Amino acid sequence: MHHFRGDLADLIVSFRERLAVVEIDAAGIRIYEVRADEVGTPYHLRRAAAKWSTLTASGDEVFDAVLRIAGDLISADEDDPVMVVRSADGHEQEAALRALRQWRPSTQVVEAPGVKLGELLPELIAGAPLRHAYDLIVARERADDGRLELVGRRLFGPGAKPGDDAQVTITCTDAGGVLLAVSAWQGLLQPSDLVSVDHAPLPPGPHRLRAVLERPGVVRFPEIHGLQPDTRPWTDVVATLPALLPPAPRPTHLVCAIETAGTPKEFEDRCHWAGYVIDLLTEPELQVSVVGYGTHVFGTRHADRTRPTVAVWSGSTAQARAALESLRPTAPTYPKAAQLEDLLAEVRDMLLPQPGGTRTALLTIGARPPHPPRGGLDRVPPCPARHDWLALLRDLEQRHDLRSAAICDSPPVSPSSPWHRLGSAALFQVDAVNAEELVVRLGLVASSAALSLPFVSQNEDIGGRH
Amino acid sequence: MVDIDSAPGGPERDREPDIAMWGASGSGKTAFLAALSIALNKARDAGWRLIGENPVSRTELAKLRDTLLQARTFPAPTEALTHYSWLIIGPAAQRRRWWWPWATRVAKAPKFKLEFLDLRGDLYAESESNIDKKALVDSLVKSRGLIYMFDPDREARVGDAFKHLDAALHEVAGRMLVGDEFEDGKLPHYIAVCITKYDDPKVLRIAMEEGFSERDPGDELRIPRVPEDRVPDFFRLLCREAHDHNAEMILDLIEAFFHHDRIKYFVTSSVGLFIDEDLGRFDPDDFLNVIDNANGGLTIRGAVRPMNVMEPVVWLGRMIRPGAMRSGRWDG
Amino acid sequence: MGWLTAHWAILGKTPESLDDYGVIGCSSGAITSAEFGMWLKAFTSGTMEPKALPRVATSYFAVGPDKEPWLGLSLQTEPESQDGFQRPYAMTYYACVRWADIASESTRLSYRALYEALTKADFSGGDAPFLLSPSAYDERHLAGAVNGTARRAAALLLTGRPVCVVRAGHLPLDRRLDFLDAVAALLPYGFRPTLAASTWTNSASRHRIRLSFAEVPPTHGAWELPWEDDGPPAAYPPQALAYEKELERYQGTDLQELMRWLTTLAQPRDFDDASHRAAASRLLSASAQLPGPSVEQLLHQCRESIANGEEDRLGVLTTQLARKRVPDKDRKTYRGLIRANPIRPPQRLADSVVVRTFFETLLRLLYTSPMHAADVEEMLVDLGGRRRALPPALIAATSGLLPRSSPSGRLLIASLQGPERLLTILDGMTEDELFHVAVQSHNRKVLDIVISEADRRALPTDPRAMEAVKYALMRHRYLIEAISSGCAAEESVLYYQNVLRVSHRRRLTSADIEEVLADLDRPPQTFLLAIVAESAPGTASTLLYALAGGAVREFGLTGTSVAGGIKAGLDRMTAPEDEDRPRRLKLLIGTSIVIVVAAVVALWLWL
Repeated sequence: MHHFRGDLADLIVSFRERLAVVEIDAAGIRIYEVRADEVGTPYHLRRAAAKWSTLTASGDEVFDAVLRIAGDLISADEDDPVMVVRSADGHEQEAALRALRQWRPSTQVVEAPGVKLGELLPELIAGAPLRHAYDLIVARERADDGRLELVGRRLFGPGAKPGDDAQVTITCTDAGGVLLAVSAWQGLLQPSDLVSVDHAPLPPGPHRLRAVLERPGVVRFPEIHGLQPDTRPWTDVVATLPALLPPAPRPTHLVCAIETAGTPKEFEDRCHWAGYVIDLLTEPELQVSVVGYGTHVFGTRHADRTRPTVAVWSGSTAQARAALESLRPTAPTYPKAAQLEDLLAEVRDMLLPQPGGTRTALLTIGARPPHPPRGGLDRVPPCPARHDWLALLRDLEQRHDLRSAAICDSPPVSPSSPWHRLGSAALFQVDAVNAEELVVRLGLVASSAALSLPFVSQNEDIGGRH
Repeated sequence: MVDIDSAPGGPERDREPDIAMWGASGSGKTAFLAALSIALNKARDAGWRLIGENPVSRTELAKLRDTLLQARTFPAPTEALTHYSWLIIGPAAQRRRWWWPWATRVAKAPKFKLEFLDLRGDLYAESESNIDKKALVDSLVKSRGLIYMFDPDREARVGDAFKHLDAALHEVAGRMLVGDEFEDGKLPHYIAVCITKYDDPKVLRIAMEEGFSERDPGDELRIPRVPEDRVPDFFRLLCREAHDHNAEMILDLIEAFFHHDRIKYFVTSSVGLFIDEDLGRFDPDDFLNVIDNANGGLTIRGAVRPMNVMEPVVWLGRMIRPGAMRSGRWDG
Repeated sequence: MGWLTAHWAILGKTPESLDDYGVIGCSSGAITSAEFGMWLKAFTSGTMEPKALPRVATSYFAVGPDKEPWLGLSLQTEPESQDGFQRPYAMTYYACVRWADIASESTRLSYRALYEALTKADFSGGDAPFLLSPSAYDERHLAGAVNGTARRAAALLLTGRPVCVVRAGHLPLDRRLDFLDAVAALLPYGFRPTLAASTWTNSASRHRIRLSFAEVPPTHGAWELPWEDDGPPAAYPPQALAYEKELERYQGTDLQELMRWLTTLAQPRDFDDASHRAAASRLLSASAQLPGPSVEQLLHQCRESIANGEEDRLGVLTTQLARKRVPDKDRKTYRGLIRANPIRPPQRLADSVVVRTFFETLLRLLYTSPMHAADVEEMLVDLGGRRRALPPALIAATSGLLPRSSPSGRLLIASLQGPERLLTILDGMTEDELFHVAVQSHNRKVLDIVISEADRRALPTDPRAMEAVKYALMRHRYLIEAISSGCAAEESVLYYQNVLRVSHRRRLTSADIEEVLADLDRPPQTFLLAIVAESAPGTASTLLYALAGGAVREFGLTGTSVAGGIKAGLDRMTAPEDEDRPRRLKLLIGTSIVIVVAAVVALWLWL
């Protein structure tokens, strides 16, 4: 019995096109066929089932009837194996066996009383080792021209058994997550070659994934929560990929502008996020500046000409952390606006000598919007120096290709709030900041192109094939 | 069903004000009073002073001045009928005796007594049975001059000026016009209608954008002002912006109850417009003189330059007490 | 005092509101929101000044067709927020109570007590009226707050004009409130329904506050009263001066006594009614003649005024009497005086607080502290006359004696006041205290009280209580000292029998007798007789042994040959008498067994 199971399992692994398995018992005859789909996953079909009485109802002998059915349903090709599993003896059974042997002399016959093929076959198929290798599809830059190409990262080789697991390291570049596509074999990527495509809500950055082969055709990623099947046509997915990654990393400059006016707690929260963002950055040519600004003083005889505090300019991340520590909270002297426009003017002046080609980002963290250049109906006095925050911001964006993100204490009160403009790249509230996404949106990570597929860099060892 | 025993009383109850203030809650009545002494001090004809006639009024005057000048904010909402007895003292004129014209002598300084009644704005809305309301209507009946404060900002937001004015006028008229004393059917009072909070950007912008404001070439600060003859039209325009469509009838109401020649319109601001001292003149981009402070309240930002605060009082004074004003020069 | 229903309201604004001041929350029921709004605004102290906050003010009003008077107290504070015009504003928290609820002697209320209860109230929960639990009227605290300014303010208020205290800007709210309270306490309590007082007013406002602090006084009509300035104001009316002078005569406990009396004058009085003010001015002047009448005179006058039902006069006289200091040696004289001239209040003064106050004063005058049981009995003779029945007002007044009485005196006073009062006193005593009092007092009444209380406690159903009583009695020698000193032989036996019944609740067994007699040296014969009377059958020999043994011990005969002879005699005495006795006994026992068996069988059958 055990021997017979092993034989049948071997046949399920080794058959090429079709495998016929015939069950002959006391009641009648059933013919099953096992095939493999496009990705090599075997499956079985019941092609025919008849009681002896049914076969002979029209006056035929059992032998003739079985011969006819076998001719119709069982491949004549000697490469396609046939196995007969007999669990009863008798006239009809003998006749049927003779007919099958006549049709396919190589028919292998085993005696297996009590076996139900309808239950045994799915069990053997689920436990079958892989007929093909399974790869995770990743993107990488081609060595010669830097064009993006899709390659497979080997998860499971042929012969891998259900329950096997594999580890793979990828980089996620899109804050919206990544598609985990498993392909069954190498070669041209066609939709039919895919075992599964799932969307994984992973944050940007490197990730080490564990994949588990559940059974042929099913790969699980047990450590990722919120996995959702992606039903888009594969061609659409591929179409979203750029031909080339953005050019090689340039020097990067992050300017953190922090409003100091407020309670110590408010101020601390702002500094926390500045520090957090700075800690996320690992770019080689990174400079960080930290500037603190407060609120204007009104009611004095002469206009307030205080300037923002440049705690550090173009420093290292360590210097920036130290500079953050050096800032102190200040009491708000005016409630509805802060000298944010003075800050923009200061940043503009400081950035003047900066060489071109530096990626520059401004992260503003505060509570109050800038003063307008002119007094309006909202009872906010204009900037004493009459700086125009919007003009300054536009100038910075044009001159330095600056990206601007903002974290504000509370949600902007109106759609016309300057915070929307200051946070054009990303706008968060201080109690709900996605800092990883923020650095991506500010263009502060190298793989700034957001790919929907996992990215691996050129020098990483690729386990799969092209 | 409700009875309040008569309160401890005294002779004060019988003294009625020359001038009563009139206007909704938050319309700036007390701020106007607070600005009055500053306005007199700042008047070009130096030497005008406002003093309290008794210790109470002196204390209150000092408090009001302090509120504007030291605390740089506005008086708290008035809760009770508040009575101020003030005296305006002018500079003594030099006189020559006709029989000895070679020397001058100092004449008596002109003095003018002002009795003001300030009140919480909602008192007009209350029922007649309220004892304060009775006192208020009494004082209106007995007073000779009224300062009516119209707050365009409040009108745009709340819009209850017509309702209050209408109710109060009918009560006063009911008391005064039933008999035969005033045969022409109009109230005998002089009324200075003051459009307040000219410094509010919403008001000043309308004045500037609708072409009501002009700059006096002689004014080195170049502050835009609404010329006297255009104030009624400006008033009408502001009423059209009001929250309550009845506001447009306020002007008609006033003219229906008072003699045409006893009404005068003023555009006022208790604190005036902000002037950047470095610039030295009015800047249309930066004139806010009242700004929010860190505590959620309001702060006066620059110098207090009352606009048209002294003028209504002086006009009423001249109308009510022609004799007392004769020796003073009031047109500064 | 107990629970007090208070209605409440909040006058103020909601943050950022463009509305004027209004009632933004109030209790439902007796008073409408509109009425609250009207009164709160009517009693405003003037435009808010932050330095004047928090401010506490009292006010009053009348509701309904019957013009039911109410009294209120408000607390004004400044919230953090601003109104819609970005101006600061004040919130006024107000609670008011029916005058009727606070007008009686047991419910009188100081402003401070109401204020403290108000600050504890929760103004945010629903619209139900508050149930306040204000602290009791505290004359000692009030008297402590009285100074010259307070006396003068009280006197000036009787002129009908408002009083404005100036130059007190340095005083914190607490002191201001105490001052207002003290001034009110120096006037008849009944004036409060027309007294509006405030810890701060703005004199430019036309307010209706009669007594207040202000920066400057109003221009007209009010008395300007500089804080702690002794110079009399100009045109100080003579009747006010007289009242002030009178008040000055009261200090310390006298002042407290005066304040206490003034609270009994609770019939509503109106400051605006000149006759009420004049009557109040004269209240104290009755005692103005110097030198004052003698105690004897006063006692006669009091007796007279009680007989004539002149309550007000009695009040004045009582106050004078209260100020008298009497040497102990004279008390007996006054007692004799009273005994000879019994005071019997007429029926209509039966519940009079003034009469009660008089009796309290009288008791203080006649008896020293502490009062023992004997003093109380003396009091019954002095004041109860031949019938030994005290008038109800006097019985009520004896409550005042309780704190300054010895335990025995306290028991007797409480018994005068009725079984309930007595029970509360007894409940607070342990068995040992109880029997100690009985032994100490040498007083029959106390003894009776104690034995009946012991009887009440030693419930046969409660073995533990019985044990407690039994052993406490044993410790106190079965009250032998108390009983033997005050009772004749016959009575003594009966008392001892009672005591033994209470302690054992059964006929005394041999063991009981041994236990009782073990620790008693030389028990009186009456006690032994009581034991004999209470003993169970078959205890004779035990009693005999015990008595003989006790006598042997007492005379120091133990171990002598005499003792041996006595022992032998005892054995002989208790031995069987003759030969045929056992046979008869056997027969008796046999018969008894037959009867018992028959009874058991009958019982079994019957069951």
